[in-house]
Amino acid sequence: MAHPRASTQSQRFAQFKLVLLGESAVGKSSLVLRFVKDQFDDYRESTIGAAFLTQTIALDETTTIKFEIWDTAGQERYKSLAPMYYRNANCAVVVYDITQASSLDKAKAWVKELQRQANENIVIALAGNKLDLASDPSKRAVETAEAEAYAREAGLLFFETSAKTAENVKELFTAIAKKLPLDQQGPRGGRAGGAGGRGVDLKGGSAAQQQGCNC
Amino acid sequence: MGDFNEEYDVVIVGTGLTECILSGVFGAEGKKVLNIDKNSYYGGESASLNMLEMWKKFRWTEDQRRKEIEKAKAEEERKSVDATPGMAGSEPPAVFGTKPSEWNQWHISLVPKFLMADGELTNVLHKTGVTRYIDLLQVGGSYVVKKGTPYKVPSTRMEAVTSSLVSLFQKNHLQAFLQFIANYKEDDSTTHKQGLDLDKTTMREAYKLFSLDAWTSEFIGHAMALYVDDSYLDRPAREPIERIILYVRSMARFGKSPYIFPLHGLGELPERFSFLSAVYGGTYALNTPLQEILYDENGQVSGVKFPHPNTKEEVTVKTKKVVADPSYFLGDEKKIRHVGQLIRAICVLTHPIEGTEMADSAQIIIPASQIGRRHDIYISLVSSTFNVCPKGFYLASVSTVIENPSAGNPHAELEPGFERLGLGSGRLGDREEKFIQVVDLYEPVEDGTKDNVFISRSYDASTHFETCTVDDVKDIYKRLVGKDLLIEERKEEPVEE
Repeated sequence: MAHPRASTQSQRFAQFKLVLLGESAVGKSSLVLRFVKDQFDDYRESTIGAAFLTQTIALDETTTIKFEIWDTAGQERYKSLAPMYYRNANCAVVVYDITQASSLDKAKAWVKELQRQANENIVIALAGNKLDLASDPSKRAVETAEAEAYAREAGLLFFETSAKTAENVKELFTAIAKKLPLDQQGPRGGRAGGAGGRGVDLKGGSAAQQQGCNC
Repeated sequence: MGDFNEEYDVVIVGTGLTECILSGVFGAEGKKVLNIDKNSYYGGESASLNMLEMWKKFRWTEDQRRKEIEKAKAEEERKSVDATPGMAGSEPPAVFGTKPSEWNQWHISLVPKFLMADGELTNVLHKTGVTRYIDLLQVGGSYVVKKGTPYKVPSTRMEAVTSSLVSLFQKNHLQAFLQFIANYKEDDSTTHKQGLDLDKTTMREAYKLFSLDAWTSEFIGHAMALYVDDSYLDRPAREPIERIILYVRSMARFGKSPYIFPLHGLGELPERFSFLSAVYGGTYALNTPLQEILYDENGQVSGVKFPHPNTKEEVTVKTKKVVADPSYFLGDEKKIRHVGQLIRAICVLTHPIEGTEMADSAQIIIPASQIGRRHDIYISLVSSTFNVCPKGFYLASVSTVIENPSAGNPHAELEPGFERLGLGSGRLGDREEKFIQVVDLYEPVEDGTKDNVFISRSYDASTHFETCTVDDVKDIYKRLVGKDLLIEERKEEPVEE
């Protein structure tokens, strides 16, 4: 959820939950790793050990956005994502692989699923990953124009990205940040803020009442 | 990206809370774990369902549910993205929502149990780091019904003085008892009560030692020690005393009641544990029934057969250990034993419960003696504060052990509970609903050490989680691994690299 926190009158800070969706092996985790740590690993195994990362970006001099990024931990492989995964997500990046036509079909199915199940005003971005492979034109299986037309029709942000070369990765997340409603107040679910400050803190010894959460 | 591995250290069948905790624990230990579940959702018996799922489970026929699955399959084969799936059965009434995003605002727990704030399950949640991603809220009140009126359960000396639940003559005795409970330390004999040997003295005698009368001991045993019947009275006092200590300590943690409950309902727990397990490399496949367990010549597990969740082709994986919930062995008398029947009604209400000071959440116990029964009736109430239903609605659960199955009318056994909810004599408002279920309880016949198939127990009648889940988790772990489960506290972020 958005946690607008005004540190000074002119500073704005907001936190959003972002989920990644898409077929296995399209590079979901690689995109996040490039965005969060500016790293890339050619031989990255399927997602193990990392499924929750955060990254803060400055939109302009007065506005800071923190993304709470959830990776699927591989639970999408057999269509076994738990509802808690996209519950209260403010934004989603649906990824396909520009060298695999079938991965765009999967991406469309995820978009449909999100539009049916998730927050009504969720911001969705479609990312055609592995753009670096398009340097060999014979490898490209999804034309830019085709995906772009679909994205426009479905109301999605659209980028072709390369986690390997970093092309358009930062641009993708920045575009999402710009589209998010920063001034949205009130509990849209999420962490303890959604519990109206009644969440209990188990770390404390006794009768510790927690006011929201600085996660 | 490969498909299923050829071999797993453990195959876990079912995604109930017990199974998911074990899966998370094994994953964290580096074991290779495969989890399958026949349902389309996580949690099995301990799931939270949205309104459409509730409707399908309780209002559709078996035939309609089967047709719906076939339709979904056909649609997938056509790879159609645009067609909206028509439904094989009726939709929920419009007052509960008319589209998925509205039905998804309901998280109705099938086994609406509370957690004790200072209990073992809470401890496990904290130690495994799962609480970083779950918000737990305190439950608004803990009540016991006497002569048709709910009273707050007193748990401190102060409350013993002011409570009108006990007679004037009993107040001093109750105070002395609660003082003993608050001070008790196992290794400090000055805090012990003379003449009370926790391992020898029965609880019945222990009450006498403190001069507690029949009613005072009744509400202590049922509303604090949380026994559903009176069989504990003639057993050693240790277990009931420990349970009362747990109640009082849990109460002291957050103040309003000893109970806590997750935002978005109980289904959060198995979902989060499954996610934890997946982060450690565990594989999950829903919509995947268990076809067969394979055994070697010594009668020990050698593998598991199931239809591939995507292609539906038969898959066999090797494994030497299987953990499963009893619902996968129905009718197999060599594996599971029927131990009882509960009846549970999940009620959608539009008002809080009378006599609870408009509490947005509460546990109410109607002791058996008050209504001429042998087993208590348990009521739990949660509301939109917990994000389990839209604003203006409340979810109440009424449950008890079926005492008279031959009468053929188990619903009648819940009547005193329905009266408490304002639903007596079948009354039901326009925007209200009752989902009633008879639940069969099972336990494993054998402990699993012979064939390496470890079966969990059904969740019992009570509305709290202490007695069953964590004990069962520890028990299965010990039998499977051969040593005690020790969950070490994770100091680092479990899922952040």
